[in-house]
Amino acid sequence: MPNIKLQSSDGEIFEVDVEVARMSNTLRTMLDDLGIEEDDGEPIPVQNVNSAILRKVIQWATYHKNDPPTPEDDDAREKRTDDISSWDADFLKVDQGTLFEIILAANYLDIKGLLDVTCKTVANMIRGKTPEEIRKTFNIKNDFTPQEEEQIRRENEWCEEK
Amino acid sequence: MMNTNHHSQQQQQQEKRFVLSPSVSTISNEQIDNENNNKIQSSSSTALVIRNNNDQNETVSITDLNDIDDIQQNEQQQQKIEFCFPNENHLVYDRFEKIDDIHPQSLQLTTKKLSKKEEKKRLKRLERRQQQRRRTYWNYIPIDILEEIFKLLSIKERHLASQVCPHWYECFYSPTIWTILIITDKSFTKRKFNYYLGYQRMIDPFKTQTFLWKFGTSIRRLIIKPMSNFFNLYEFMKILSQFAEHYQPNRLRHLNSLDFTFGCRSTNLSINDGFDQNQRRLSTGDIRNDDIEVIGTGGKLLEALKELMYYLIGLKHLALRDLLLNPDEARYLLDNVTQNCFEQLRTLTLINCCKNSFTFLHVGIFINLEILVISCQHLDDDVLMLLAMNQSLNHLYIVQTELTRSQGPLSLGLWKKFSKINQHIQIHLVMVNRTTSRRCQNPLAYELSLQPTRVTSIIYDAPIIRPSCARLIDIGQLYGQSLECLAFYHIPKYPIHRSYMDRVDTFLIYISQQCSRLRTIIINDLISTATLLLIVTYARNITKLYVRRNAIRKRFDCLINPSWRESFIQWLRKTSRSYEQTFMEISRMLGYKWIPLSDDQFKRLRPDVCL
Repeated sequence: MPNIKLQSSDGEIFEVDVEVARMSNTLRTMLDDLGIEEDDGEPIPVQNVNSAILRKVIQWATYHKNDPPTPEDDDAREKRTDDISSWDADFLKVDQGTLFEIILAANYLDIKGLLDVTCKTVANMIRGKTPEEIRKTFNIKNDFTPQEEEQIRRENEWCEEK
Repeated sequence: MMNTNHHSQQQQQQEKRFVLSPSVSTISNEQIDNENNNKIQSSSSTALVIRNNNDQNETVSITDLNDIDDIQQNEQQQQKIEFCFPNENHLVYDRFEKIDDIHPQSLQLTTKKLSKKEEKKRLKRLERRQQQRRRTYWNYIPIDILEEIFKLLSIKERHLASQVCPHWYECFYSPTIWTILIITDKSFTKRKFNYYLGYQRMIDPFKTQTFLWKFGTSIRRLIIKPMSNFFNLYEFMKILSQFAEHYQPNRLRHLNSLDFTFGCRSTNLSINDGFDQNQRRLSTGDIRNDDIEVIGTGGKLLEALKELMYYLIGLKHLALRDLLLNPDEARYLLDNVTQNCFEQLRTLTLINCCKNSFTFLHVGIFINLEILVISCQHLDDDVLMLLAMNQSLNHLYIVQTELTRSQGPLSLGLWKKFSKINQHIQIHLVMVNRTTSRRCQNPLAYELSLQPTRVTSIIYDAPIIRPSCARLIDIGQLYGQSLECLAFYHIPKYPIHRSYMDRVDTFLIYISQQCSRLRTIIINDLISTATLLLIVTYARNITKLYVRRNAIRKRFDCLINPSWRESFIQWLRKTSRSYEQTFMEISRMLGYKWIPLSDDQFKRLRPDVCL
């Protein structure tokens, strides 16, 4: 299997399978445009992604490289959040900061499967929590004054189940 | 006396102090000396002052005292600086060195003393800084990612999340998160007390209207799930129609997809309850189909549905399932849709819209229809001829579910006529069954009915159904020239046979031998390594082979064909005795690295069309 080199934002170089790299639409376009088939010694810079996160992303992509393609109209279908595989659930047992950076990296590298599963994980973390609990979970500072908060709550009170 | 090494800020401060110094100098030297002597014994931190005192005059010593404060202040400042610019640590140390030059010994003491505290402080600071960074992270997560996350939440959860911070609040009002609306028994309801049943979820018109007023124009896709409370369903459809009717231009004109499934199986939950009368008024006629009690719709509910479809003028995708209408009511079901959308409709799904055989001639009118998913009881000679003349139609899915009353296959002559007129339509036979009961009272309902024509794919979307051997042989015989895809989705929920004779292996080998155009095979049942090798050997055009890793047996258990050469049998025997060897040989024949799927991956496989 031909390999190529990827360079993280902090300069570390990773050697990965071409098939793994091509799971990222961003890298695939880049490889196609540049006509790179296999390693020619020159690492491909992956800006915006540091080595720790790139290592995680490569780990995910390597595990999922044989996944069958999803149907094209997948976006139109109803989405579930309870179908995260056990491997993915274990893989995403990380702190908020790392999870956040994985999401950003998945978005930047355009890896749909990884973005989906991370978004589902975050949605599951939000589910069933009050705003204060959500803030605590994600370390978000409350930028609202109590008045504003009350106003926002009132504004969409109709959403609340009674 | 002041070191030139001091940086300008410090110098300025000291100059100020010199101005102040006269007032300090009024204190007698002795007093200060005494004080200082006391301090020698009392604390080490002041020791440096006294040492300096001995060298220089009192006034300076006092300024020096101030100077220490100054240093400490400076340190605090530096801490702040360090806090703000973590990468400039080296700068801070530079400054420390400079101060060291001023009071070499004294500062050694202070730094030594501070080092432990410093270390703790630094750790705390680091932690705080990291928290700060994370805070900013989740506050300013890119809006498109946040939208994806919001899409996965229910309306109530979106509301709670919107109260977290201003950025998330903004996301609540982003139209993209409201494009899909899913209606279930719980949507837009309020708990109301009922004397007979206790608390019940009743639709709240205020909630529904507020929602529509705010986000109604963003809805692109409406999915109505099977509901057991028909009153809520009726009211919801009425409110939606009114919303569309009330405003000019129609606010639901951008809604392009309606997916309606009637809850025909939910009646046994509420046979004796207070809604019974209500339901009977709204719906007419129930039927018993095998062991499942089902109820069809009609009457007021049907009227509301038709009215809603009348106002949805932008429909491109329409799906109606399990309506089980009476023929006299079914006749007018699609009138409004054909009137508004005959040009724009791209996909149409009609599954079990009628209890018995009934044909909707309307399907021939949609001139730009690309995909038609229809159950067998809605097909007959006329419909088929109309479809044959539709030039845009690419895929015809003939679906059979447990509620379908199959009338048997259409005649061979008719299909011949059909393929004479139209050759490009791909025909797919689909078996859908999502019930969980394994009881098979009506064997016909669990047997795929075949059509004598060029069928491109056979899809089993039914975990409880095991294809019968006879059916598999028929498939091989009938569709040898056309079959491209044979797919059994889902992990089976029927008892799996272990012995070779009871398994489907032989028949799969037979099909792959017969069907030369076969490209995709998806197998959920138990299979042996030898069978896999034979399938790949026979099906020369195969590109996709999905098999569960957990359902592969390491066996050389196939029946040996007398026409095989000895070397082939040797190869088969040798290879099938090891998983790795088998996978490697299959990879070699397929031309890419082939690996069977884990159950997780297999569960995710779904048919290309939304059935």
